[in-house]
Amino acid sequence: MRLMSVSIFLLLMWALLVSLSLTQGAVVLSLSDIWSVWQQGTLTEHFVLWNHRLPRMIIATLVGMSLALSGCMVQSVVRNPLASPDILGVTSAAALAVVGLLIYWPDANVHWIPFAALIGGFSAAGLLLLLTTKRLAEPSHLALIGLALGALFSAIVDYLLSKYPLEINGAMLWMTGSVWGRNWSHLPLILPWLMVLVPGAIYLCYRLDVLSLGQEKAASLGLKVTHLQVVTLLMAIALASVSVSVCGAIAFVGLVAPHIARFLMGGRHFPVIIIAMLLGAIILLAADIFARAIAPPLEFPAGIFVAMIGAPYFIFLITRYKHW
Amino acid sequence: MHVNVTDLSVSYRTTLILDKLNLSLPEGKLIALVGPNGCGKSTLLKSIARLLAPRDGQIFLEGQSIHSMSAKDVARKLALLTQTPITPDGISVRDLVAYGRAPYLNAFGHLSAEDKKLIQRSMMLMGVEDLAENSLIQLSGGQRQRVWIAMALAQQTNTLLLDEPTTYLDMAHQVELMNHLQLLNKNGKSIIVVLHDLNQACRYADMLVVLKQGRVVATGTPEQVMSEALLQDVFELNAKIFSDPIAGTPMCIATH
Repeated sequence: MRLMSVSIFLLLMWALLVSLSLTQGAVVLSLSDIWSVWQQGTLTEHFVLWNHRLPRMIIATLVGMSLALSGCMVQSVVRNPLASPDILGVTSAAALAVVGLLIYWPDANVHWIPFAALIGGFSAAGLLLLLTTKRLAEPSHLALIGLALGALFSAIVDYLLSKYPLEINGAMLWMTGSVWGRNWSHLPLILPWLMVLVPGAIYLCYRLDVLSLGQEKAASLGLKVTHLQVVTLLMAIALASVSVSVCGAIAFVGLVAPHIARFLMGGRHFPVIIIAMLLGAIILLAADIFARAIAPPLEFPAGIFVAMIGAPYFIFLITRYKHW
Repeated sequence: MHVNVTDLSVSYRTTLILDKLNLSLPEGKLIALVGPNGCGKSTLLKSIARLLAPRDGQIFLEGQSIHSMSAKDVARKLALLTQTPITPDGISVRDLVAYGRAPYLNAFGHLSAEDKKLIQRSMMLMGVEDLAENSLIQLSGGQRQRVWIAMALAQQTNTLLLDEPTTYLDMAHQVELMNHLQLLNKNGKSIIVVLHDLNQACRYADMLVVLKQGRVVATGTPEQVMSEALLQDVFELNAKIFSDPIAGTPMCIATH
C-alpha cells in the first residue's frame, strides 16, 4: 500500500531529523549521550535536552503538521494551487494580532496569544472574502489580493516593532518565525487545537474528495457544499492561527507540503493530508536544525530557511500558472 | 406526474432567468429541453436538481417538494450530469464511478460489497468496465462522458438529468451517447436532457420542452411541437421541416 510505504519512509526521515534536532546545536551531544544524559547527565546537558531541545523538536513537528494541514484544507476549498494560509494573508494577520497584544498588553497571560491569533486570522479571512466576493471564482485574484493584504499586515507589524523598540524583544524573536526558545509552556497553546482539528479534518476527508468534483456535482451527490466549505475554511484558519501563536508567521510550509503530498499521493484527501502533515513536520524540523547548526552558537529563525526553499517554489508555481 | 414545476421564478443577481414557469413532466420518458442560448434551459435543469434556490414557486419530484427534502434525499432520486464537470487529478475511472454511491455512504465513504457490485454494473452498462483502472485524463471525450454517466447510474436514481452531454463530442460519439441514453430510458429511467441540436432532440426524445426567455412556449412530441412558425418565433430561424429519412422524426434545415 502506497500510503503505508510513503509514511514509513517519511517517518524514518522524521526520526533521523529528531535525532539531529536533539543532538545538534551550541552543545553537541551524540545519540548515545542522550541516553546517558537521561540517566545521569550534568545539569547543563540535562537542561539543554529536556528544557530546550525536546520541546523545541515537538513544537517544530506540531507546527509543521498544523501549517501543512491548513494548506491542504484551504487549497481544497478554494480549488487554487496558489492558495495557502500565508499567501491569503491569514498568517500575517494572526502575527499582527499577536504583536499588537504583546506590545499593548505585555502583561497578558500567554494563553491569550492563540485567541489573539485566531481573531487576527479570522478577520483577515473575512476581509479577503469581502474584497473578493465577486471574484472568488478567479484564483489569481484571490492570491493577489491575499498577498497584498499580507504585505500590508507585515508592514504594520514592522511599524509597530520600530515604534516600540523597547517592548519588542519578545515580539521580535517570536514573529520572525522561530522555534528558538520554545519550551514546554508553548505546548498547551497548540496541542489541544491539533487534538481536535486533526481528527476533524480526517472526518471531512471523504466529503472533500466529493467536493473535488466541483460544487455543482458535489451538491448533486447530496453534499451540503456551502456548509462544508465554511467549516473547512474555519478549521484551516484556526490551524494556521494557532501555529502563528506558537512560532510566529512561518511562510510556505502550508503551500509546499500539500503540493508535494498531492504529487506523491494523487487526489484523495486522506492520504494527502497524512503525508502533507509528515512533510510539514520534516520541512520545519529540518529548517530549524539548519538554522542553529549553520553557525553555532548563533541561531537564525527557521522561517528564513523555509522561505529560501518556499519562495522560489512559489515563483515557479506562478510562472507555470496559466489562468491569469 | 413525475416532475411538477409550478410558478417557478429564478433569478441570477438582478436578472430574472425563469419567469413564473409551469411544467409537468411524465415518468419514464426521454424528455429534451431545447431553446435558444440564454433561454434558461440549464437554469431549469439545475433548479430541478435543487442546485439553485428559486425566488418563487415550487418544484415537486415524485410528489414531494424538493426544497422540503434533504440534499441526500434528492441525490437518491435524481442524478445530474453537469455541462463541464471537473475532473480531479489522480483518480481512476472506478474511483470516480464510486462517487456515485456518495448519497448512500457514511462520512468515511466506506463501500460495501453491494456498493462495489453496483459500481461494476454501472461501468458495464456504459461499456467502460475495461477502462476501470485508467486515469480519467487518459480517456477521450466520449469515454469520459460515458464514465460520468456511469457515475450517475451508480447513484441508483429513477431520474437522470443531463446538461448538453453531446456538445463537445464528435458526431459518432454523439450518436453513441444518445443511443446509450435511449437504452437506459427503455430500461425504465426517466431522462431529462438539455440539447442544443434540434434534430438530435427530435430524433431521440419522446417529448420536447421548448423554452424562450424563461418561459415554456411549447411541449409535446417532436411531431406536435416542431413547426416552421415555432422555429421562427423561438430561434428567429428561417428553416424548413422535413421528415428524417431514417427515423421518420421531424428534421429542420435552415434556409439562410
